[in-house]
Amino acid sequence: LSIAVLSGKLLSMMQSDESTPRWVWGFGIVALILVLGFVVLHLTGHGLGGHFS
Amino acid sequence: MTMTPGLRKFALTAHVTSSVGWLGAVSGFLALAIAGLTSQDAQMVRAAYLAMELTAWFVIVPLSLASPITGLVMSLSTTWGLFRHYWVLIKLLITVFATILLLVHMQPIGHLARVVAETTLSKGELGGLRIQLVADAGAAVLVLLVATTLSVYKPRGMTPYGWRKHHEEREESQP
Repeated sequence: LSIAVLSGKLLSMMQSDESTPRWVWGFGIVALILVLGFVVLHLTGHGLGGHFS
Repeated sequence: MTMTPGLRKFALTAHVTSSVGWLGAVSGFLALAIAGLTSQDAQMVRAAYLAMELTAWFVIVPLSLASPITGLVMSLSTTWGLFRHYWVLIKLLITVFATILLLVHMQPIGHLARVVAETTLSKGELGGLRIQLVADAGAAVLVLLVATTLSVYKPRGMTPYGWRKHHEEREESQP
């Protein structure tokens, strides 16, 4: 019962006007993937720092 | 902070001009980076990298600083605010991130310009750095296009801070 209540509350929160819009979640996920990719590239020596020599 | 309509229009003009100008300048930078990477003509390669350094220092860097400053003035002097709406907040983060990345990458741009000023680049010389400049400029164009799109469409969605302020203002207006 508590799970049903919680999921109901979560659903109503997601559907309310004050919830974070879906486009913000999508944008955040894409941005996070891109930033992580950028950091990994630089840490593995594929970034600008490795090309001066 | 409130502004007169005339001052607000001036600030808006400055913000739109610097932001769209930044996008245009980075697009030109991308064209030069591609020419520098792919051209077989040594003079063209030299000209491209020298022009890239000049463009970066005298056009892109000033515009990349003017855009967030004028944006800050606009957001704080209108009802949009800086932290109230997701699109304004995301645009601020994008702009600050792009400006920091640009300033970090000014050193390799200068390095490449110094090399071509002193010697002729052979095919494949500093290849990694030249490819990286094309990739960075391409990424910058995409990021700035996203920022421009956010400004035009202004997708709905208030932050928790924005909702709190909204409720506070409504309570104040209804005693």
